[in-house]
Order: sequence, then C-alpha cells, then structure tokens
Amino acid sequence: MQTLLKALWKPTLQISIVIGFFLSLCLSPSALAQRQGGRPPAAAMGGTVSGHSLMGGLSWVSYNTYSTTSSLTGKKDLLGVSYYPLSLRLFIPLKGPNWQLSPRFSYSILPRQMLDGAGESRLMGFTLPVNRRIGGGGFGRAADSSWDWWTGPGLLQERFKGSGGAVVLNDGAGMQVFHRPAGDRTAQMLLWHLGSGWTKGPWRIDMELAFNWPLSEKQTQHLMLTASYRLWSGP
Amino acid sequence: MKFFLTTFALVIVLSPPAKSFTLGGSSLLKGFQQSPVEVYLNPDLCPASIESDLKKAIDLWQSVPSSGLQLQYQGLTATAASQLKDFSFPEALVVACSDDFGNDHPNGCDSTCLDFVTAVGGFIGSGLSITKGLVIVNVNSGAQANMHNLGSAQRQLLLAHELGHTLGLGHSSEPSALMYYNLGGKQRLALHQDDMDGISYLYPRDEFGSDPMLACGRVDMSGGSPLGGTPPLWLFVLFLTLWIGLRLRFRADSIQKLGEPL
Repeated sequence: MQTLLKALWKPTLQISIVIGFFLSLCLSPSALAQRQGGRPPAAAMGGTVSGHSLMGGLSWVSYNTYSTTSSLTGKKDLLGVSYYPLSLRLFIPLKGPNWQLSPRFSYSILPRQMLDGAGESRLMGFTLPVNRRIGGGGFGRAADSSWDWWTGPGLLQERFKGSGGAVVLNDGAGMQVFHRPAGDRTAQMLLWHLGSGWTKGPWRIDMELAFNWPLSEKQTQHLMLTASYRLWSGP
Repeated sequence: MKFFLTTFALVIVLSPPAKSFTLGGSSLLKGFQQSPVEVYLNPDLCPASIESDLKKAIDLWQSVPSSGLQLQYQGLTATAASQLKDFSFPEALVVACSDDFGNDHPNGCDSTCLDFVTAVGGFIGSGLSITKGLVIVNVNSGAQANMHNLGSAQRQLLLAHELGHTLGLGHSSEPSALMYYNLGGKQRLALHQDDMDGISYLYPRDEFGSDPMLACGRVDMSGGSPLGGTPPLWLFVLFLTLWIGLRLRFRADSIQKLGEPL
C-alpha cells in the first residue's frame, strides 16, 4: 500500500500543479472582472493594445537548477551554472487583447567558459508560448502596464566546443596526462516553459521555469529571468 | 526597476563557476556507439550489495537530461575478473571483483597500489568509438583499499566513478565532481555540472533526431513514479511567491494611482 501511495503521489502532485496553473488563469481577477461586465483592460502583453510588437532582451539562465552539486556532501545547489543569452520575441495577437502568441529565439553570444580555457558551451533556444493576460494597470481603465502568464514548448540546444590539448591531473597513483575535448558536440532537448511577465511602457520583465517534464523521463529545470525592450510595434 | 537589477546582479555574482572535464582517450573520442550499453555483473567475491550499488550508479549516469546515454543492466555473467584485462570477453561492459587485483589490473598494481586503488575502470575502442568497457574491483585480502572496507555510499560512488571511466571520461580538476580522482570526502551520490558536461559531450542527446522525444515508449516501471522524477515543488512555490509578491506590489501602485484624476 505504501509503495502504491508513493507511486501515485508524484504524478498526483504534478497533475495538481498543472491544473492549478490553468485554474489560476480562469480565476484571475481580470478574467473574473471581464465575466462580471467590467471593461477589458487596454494594455497588452507586448506593450501595445492589440498589435504586433518585437522585443529584444537579455536573460540570465540558471541552467540545471537544483540538479547538480558543488559540495562534497552531495547536497544539490540552489542555482545551476549561468548563461546570458540575448533574445528576440515577437508578440502576435490571437484573440482580443488578452491572448497572444509570442515565439522567442534566444542565443548566448557570451559562452560559458570551462576551466583553463579547455572549452566553452553555448545555449540556443526557441520557445513557442501562448500568453494570457491576467491584469494590471488598474482594472477598467486604460494603462500602459500589464501582467500575463504564459506557457508553451521550447527547444533548447546546448553546444559544447572543446579547445583540445592535454592536461596533467592526478589519477590516484600519480600524475597522468588526460585529454581535453576537441571539436563540437550538440545536445538538443525539448522543454516545457512556464512563465510570467510584466510589461510597462516599452519595458518587459519575464520570469520563467523550463523543465523536461512531461516530455522526458530525465528531469532538470532551468530558471530564467529576462529584461527586454520593445524594438518595434506594428498593426 | 532597482529591485530587478539588484536581483539580477546578485544571482550573477552568486552563480557557481563552470569547471572542466577530461576524456580518457583521444581528444576527439566518442563514446559507445551501441545503444543501450549493456552492463553485466559478476558478483563473485563482491560485497553482497554490489548489484543494487551498481544499479544506482547506472541510474545516476543516465539521469542527465542533455545526454542521450542509455545504460541497461543486463544481469549476471560468469566472466571473471581474470578474463577482463585483455578485453576478450563477449559482453559490452562487465563489472567484476578480483582477489588478485595486482595481476588482474590491466596496467598491473603493486603492493602500494593495492592499498590505494579500490577499483579500475577502462575501455578499448575501435577508431574513436568505445567497443568494450570493464570495471575491476579490488577485493584483495589484506589490501587497505579492499572494497569490503567501504560503506554502501562509498561503493556506489566508486562504481559510478569507474563507470564514468568506462564510458570515456577521464579525471576532472574539480574536487566536487564525481570524476575527481579522490572520492574520499564525498558523502552522497550526485553529479557536478562538470560531470554532466562531460557525459553530454560524449553522448549528446538529440530529441529531434536519434533520441525519442517522449518518454512513453521507455518508461521504467520498476520503481518510483511512472512519469519520471518530479520538478522540485519548492521551485514552483518560490516562483509563485515571487510572482504574487511582485503583483501585490504592482496592485498597490495601481490602487494609489486610481485615486488620482484620470
């Protein structure tokens, strides 16, 4: 019985979180206000009322959050290693001012350096989220700010570039030459993103969590903060 | 805006730095080309818990999401440690214990070595690919490094470390990495980002290519959740708390503004 409960606990918890997330979209103050006859808010996620907009941003990615250790005790680290990708995100209106599609491309121009210049790695990502505006700006009046939730799938590519060569390290009995990696290798993962954004004027701040579940049986999660600026807006 | 900039600056400063893994062979080495890599165990002379220790070590290496490595424990084999060092065994990867570690070690092991080296892991390849791997465990009577002198956590760490070698990894210069040469101070089985980088480099995952996109076809029902591991709940709680806090702050601003003439 205990084993059965243990096996059921994790998926139940996960499903509850997902259902809770979608319920929070339906029951958010703005959604309730609209159903009760309140005027729809005028601001939209990309910073324009109903048109397209393109935003450019800088992100901090905590890669492999709470998945690796950097201590001898084996305790997992709160944060993973850092990447700083640049991103471009296009906001496309879907239905009214509250729903948008916002494909995003990001690429870390600055690579993560490995020790002694032995290699470096970069992240490249493509995300295809749907945004749901949930409020902001004072309900029932025009404003230049808004909150939104968003979720969607994404592809994350991690590229390792080894600079080759050799290094002398201890092998337990003495010093020995070990080879550093050379050449490029690329790993591709499918992730699911869950985020929230705040837009004010041309500025936008996003906070998000990307995780493998339920797309893979191998689990990690990555935390991401993005500050972006509206570069263009159109009809 | 100051709040965001301060948070951003803090997380950048507090983030742990990356370190470097090495490879056990050529700098262009690729790992096993066969997938899954089948692992066999000869439990003769080994500690009683070796099978479960080995399974935990296998699980650890194949838990890396950015790695396409698949290790499959195939069960027991009769291949003895003395048959391993010339790589003439038929299996892909064999783990065995030796009470004559000095002779069975592929490079030989003198009396000093017997007191310091608890196991050896190695591979042989064809071109840049690995074709066979071995792990030989020291159970020499009287040797200080005899595996029977270790606790279960240390045995798991040791087997995971040696499996790392058979998969193609060399030692790391990062003391917290599993592939650091000295496991003496380590207490729990865990991977450092450096270990993840190394195994992902040797066995990169391609969910749009050779690796299955969804877990449906290869769910392990042997234990735990059929949906795989759980993203830690505290992360969701942290995320929601931050979001609610920011939103309340924003609403407070909005309410203040509502009092002003439009």
